[in-house]
Amino acid sequence: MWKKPFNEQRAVESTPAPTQREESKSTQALIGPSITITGGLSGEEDVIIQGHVEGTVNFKKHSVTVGTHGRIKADIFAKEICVEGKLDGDLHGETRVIIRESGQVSGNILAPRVVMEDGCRFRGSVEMDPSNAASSSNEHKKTMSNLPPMAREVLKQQSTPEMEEKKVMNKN
Amino acid sequence: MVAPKAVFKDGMINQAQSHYNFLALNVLFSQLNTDRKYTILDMGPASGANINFFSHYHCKIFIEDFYRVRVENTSKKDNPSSASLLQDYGDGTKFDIILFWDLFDYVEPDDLKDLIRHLSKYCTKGSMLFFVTSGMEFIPNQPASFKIIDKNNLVYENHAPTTRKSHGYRQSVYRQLLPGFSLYRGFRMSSGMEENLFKFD
Repeated sequence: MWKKPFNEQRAVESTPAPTQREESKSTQALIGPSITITGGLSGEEDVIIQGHVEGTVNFKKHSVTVGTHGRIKADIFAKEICVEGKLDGDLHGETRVIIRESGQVSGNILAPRVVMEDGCRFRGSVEMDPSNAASSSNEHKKTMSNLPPMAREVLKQQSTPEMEEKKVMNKN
Repeated sequence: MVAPKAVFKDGMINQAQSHYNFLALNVLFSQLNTDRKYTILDMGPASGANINFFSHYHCKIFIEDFYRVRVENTSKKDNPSSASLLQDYGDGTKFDIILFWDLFDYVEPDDLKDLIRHLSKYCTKGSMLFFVTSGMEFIPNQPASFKIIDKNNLVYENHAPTTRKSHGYRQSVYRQLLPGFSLYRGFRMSSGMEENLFKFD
């Protein structure tokens, strides 16, 4: 259901070096460690933030990763949010928010699913509604069940619910 | 009730990780249902396991990581009060559950009174407060982390390298330190650990 970089690749990297991550996410935009942005940051592609951002981060249809070097003082709105660095602000994740072991977050999380790795630092509130997570999950299962077995296997490897839906439409 | 794995030596827990069946917590969790929304205050550090457990319910959880914040602020000149270190929970917030875990063993009575007085403002009739205390003479030098596995099982982890003397208060003392609360369930385990579930009246 989720993009490969968030669960499969990261799951085997205990403390991945920034260069490794950059290579594996070549399709994502990167805000480097020396960059400071004050104000609004928005876009129509996935982004990794290794620099400093102060203001608002808005990538509602895409994923935002705050890298280990990232220092954010902003509210983030995104489809998926993954925090490995420091963040002071609220996280609004449409599908999921992940705080990695190295992540330090002070703020509030609003998402259907929240993952916190042991060792992360978090102070704030987490608001979850299992019915949202369930409906998102059921939608995905329904889409997957409509596919032929081989297509299901391929899609399981790396895809998002949106990608799966498009592929079903193309097939029909 | 202690699982066979738990080991005690020289009057203190001598194992970094132990599985427990906490009876008071079991009483508390057995009352949870999926039909309503809960507001929970977790005074301990963030735990993925606990978030995962509560994710099965519609809830809002405030995580304080109180001990770390307290330690980080002890060196400050103005020596802020414990209550002033807590988050702003917002107007109208009422906690259904407050999880103190083993922090009562690590907070001085005056600080505890200050905390409870402050938190009482966010309690309503029926709010539950859970904590455990050690009946041991010596306790690990810092609080443990508690990971909820399911309604019946909890993992207790403490990697503190040193120990300190426990203040050894009992339920009767805590009753005085918790104005507005009354004992709902209390269990003393064979290990000497005491589980306490207090209810706000």
